[in-house]
Amino acid sequence: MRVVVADDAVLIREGITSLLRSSGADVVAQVGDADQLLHEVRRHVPDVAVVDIKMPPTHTDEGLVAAQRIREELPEVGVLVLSQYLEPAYAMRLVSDHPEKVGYLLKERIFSGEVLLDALRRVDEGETVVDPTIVSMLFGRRRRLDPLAVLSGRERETLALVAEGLSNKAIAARLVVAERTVEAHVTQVFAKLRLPESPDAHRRVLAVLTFLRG
Amino acid sequence: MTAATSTPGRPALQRWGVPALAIACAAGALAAVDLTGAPAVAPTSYAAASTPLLVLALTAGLGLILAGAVLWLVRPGLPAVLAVGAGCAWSADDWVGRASAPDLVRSLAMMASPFLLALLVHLVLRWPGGRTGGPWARTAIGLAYAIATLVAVGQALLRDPLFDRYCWRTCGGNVFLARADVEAAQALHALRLWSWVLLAVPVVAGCLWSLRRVSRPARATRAGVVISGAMAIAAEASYAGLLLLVPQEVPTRGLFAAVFALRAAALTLLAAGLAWAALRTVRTRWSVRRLAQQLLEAPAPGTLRDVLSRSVGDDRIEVAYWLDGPQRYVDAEGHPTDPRPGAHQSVTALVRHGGQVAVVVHDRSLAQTHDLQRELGAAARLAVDNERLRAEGLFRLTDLRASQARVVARADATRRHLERDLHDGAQQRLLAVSSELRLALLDARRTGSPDLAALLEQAGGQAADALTELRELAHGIFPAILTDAGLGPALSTLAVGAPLPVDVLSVTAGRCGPAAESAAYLVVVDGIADAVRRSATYVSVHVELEASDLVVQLEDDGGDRDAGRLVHLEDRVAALGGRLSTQGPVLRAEIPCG
Repeated sequence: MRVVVADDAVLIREGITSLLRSSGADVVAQVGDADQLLHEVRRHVPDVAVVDIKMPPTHTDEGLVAAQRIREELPEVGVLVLSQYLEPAYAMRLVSDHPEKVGYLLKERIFSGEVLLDALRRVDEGETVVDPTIVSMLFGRRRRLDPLAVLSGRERETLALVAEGLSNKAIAARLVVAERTVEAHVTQVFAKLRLPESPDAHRRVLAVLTFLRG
Repeated sequence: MTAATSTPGRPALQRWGVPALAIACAAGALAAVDLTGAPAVAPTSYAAASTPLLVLALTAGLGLILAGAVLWLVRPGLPAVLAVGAGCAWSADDWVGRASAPDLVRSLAMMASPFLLALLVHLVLRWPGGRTGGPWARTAIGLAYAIATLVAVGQALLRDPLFDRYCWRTCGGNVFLARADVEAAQALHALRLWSWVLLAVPVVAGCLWSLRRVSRPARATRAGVVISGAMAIAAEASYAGLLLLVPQEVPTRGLFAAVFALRAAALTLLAAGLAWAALRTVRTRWSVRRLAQQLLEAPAPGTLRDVLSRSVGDDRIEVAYWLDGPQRYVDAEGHPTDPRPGAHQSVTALVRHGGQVAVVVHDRSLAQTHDLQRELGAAARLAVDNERLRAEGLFRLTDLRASQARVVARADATRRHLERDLHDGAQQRLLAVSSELRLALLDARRTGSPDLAALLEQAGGQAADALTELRELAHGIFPAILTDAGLGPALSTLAVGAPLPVDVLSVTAGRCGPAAESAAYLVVVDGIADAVRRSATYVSVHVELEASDLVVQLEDDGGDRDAGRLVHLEDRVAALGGRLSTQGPVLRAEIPCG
């Protein structure tokens, strides 16, 4: 897998690169800001770009803006945005602009387990990735009338995985059930929550996140 | 309180000298004409030519003299003296033609007569309120006097009326005659006539032009005198021009009689203009007195400027108060100001116990009625004191607000920096450590050291926990998303992580200043904490932009609010000039958007 890494902190950039290389990924370029990132992505057309959300010059949302441009210009390139902010708003902005082949991952998790590699693989395969911490934060929200109360335990598990961006097939593998069972669960959950079931697997991520956050 | 430029009391002689002179002049003018006799067949003055001309001659002369006297009593100064002088010079011609008068009187009158134009030019160009004080005005005045002196003295010494072939007022009796020189006398006569014509043109034009450029309050007091004065000068010039064309003057001839009537009428108008100016001064003074009364009775702070402006008819008037503490001027509302006179304006300082308390910036024409300052100083004492105290209070309040706002802004900036430092410093380093631990772990696994690998995995887990704690800490210090994306996303995250149900029902998409947004965010954070403390089961939040205020409204079902617990929020909101209020279950903050 060919990857471009963009992060203005050299230590982190090097860390990510070493980690990816030791896992067999081909890091074709490492850059420190959004302009260079676009340049290198256009040059190498990698499978995935790993992008820090905050980069020079303003250190606000350069990563999100760059992600959007890459997805528009080169739809074959996936973008994984790394962030230190547990902010559903950022993740939803990324997913609502271009729901396919994008991911929002908390930086603190990329060096534990196989999280980073898993996310890269999923983005590369066309899935959406939303950090589970964000999903569990949304699930933990206190509500006066909890709409999730009508769901069974399995249904809630399924809903959480949908929110994390997993496909039915991936959910089936994760829950060790048949894919048809997952499909049934999803239909059931969407009906119970009165969510319009989108045929597009990517759009449903945003629908679920919006529902959970509202 | 006294005005800095107050008028000292004048001695009686100075006060009554000019009116006494005027009365003497008036008596002289009356004595110069024959009031009882029938019109003469060969008159030696216009007054003697016909009754209408007699009336006109007397009206103009006496009018000018009396107007000058009245003006002196109301507003002593050069213009009043010049008016009396012009009246006397006008009447001098009658003395010249008065056959029964002693030769000395007639000779003196002959010398006085040429000064009429110079006096008129001087009066008109020096009439206050205009901008005719320039070098060209000085030159014109000087030239007029120099020529008049030259003509008067030269003719006194050289002109024997007996040899003047056009003589008609008197054909003899020049007591000052040193040596009769016909040609020189003719030349001087021609000089007088030519100079009157040639001086009149630029002076009249200059006067009328100057009216276009003066301020509105000044124009009202100026126009009457300047226009009628210019007319009088023009009439004198036309008289001189007529004499250049028709040297033989015959007062009974229609053309000469008409020009005389014109001159007399113009001078009468000038007298009326001067009288009107005197009247206006009296009126202004009365209105200032009335104002003083008004101020003593009901001094409403903050209104002094308007009352003053109305009373004296100057809509550009400004009052500024001097504050000793901060060493600056403020207006009635306490806003710092810099009282500098603009075009046509002067500054009058109001002083008490040697210290300045206020300044009035006003139209320059008001300064000429200089008792305005004295009377205002004495009368408006209470109003000025009241308004100054109020202005000082308002200024200090504004100052305090600004300083509070600065304190809050600095605190906000510090928190933002802290968050940034944590993000760029500790968090990054810990991430680097995590990455190295991860690499070491992979290495240990490859080289088959399970114990080391277990240790490294544990260390990695702890680093991840530390990162989570650090992130929460940084977010608690200052939520970066508030600056980046605004109140909507920030409050949404706040609601998601809140320990009780929080419904963010509406949030404006508009952005406000960072201080206002932080304050609004803090109101919601602390409002939620307060709701938890009062065992509420939910909180609803509205954030709207109303006019220029960011309005935050929280409602919950908790117990009664303890106002003391919200004092710090109240301070915070007030520091930005906003207001925090509670009404039943509703907590409401109105914060200027900034």
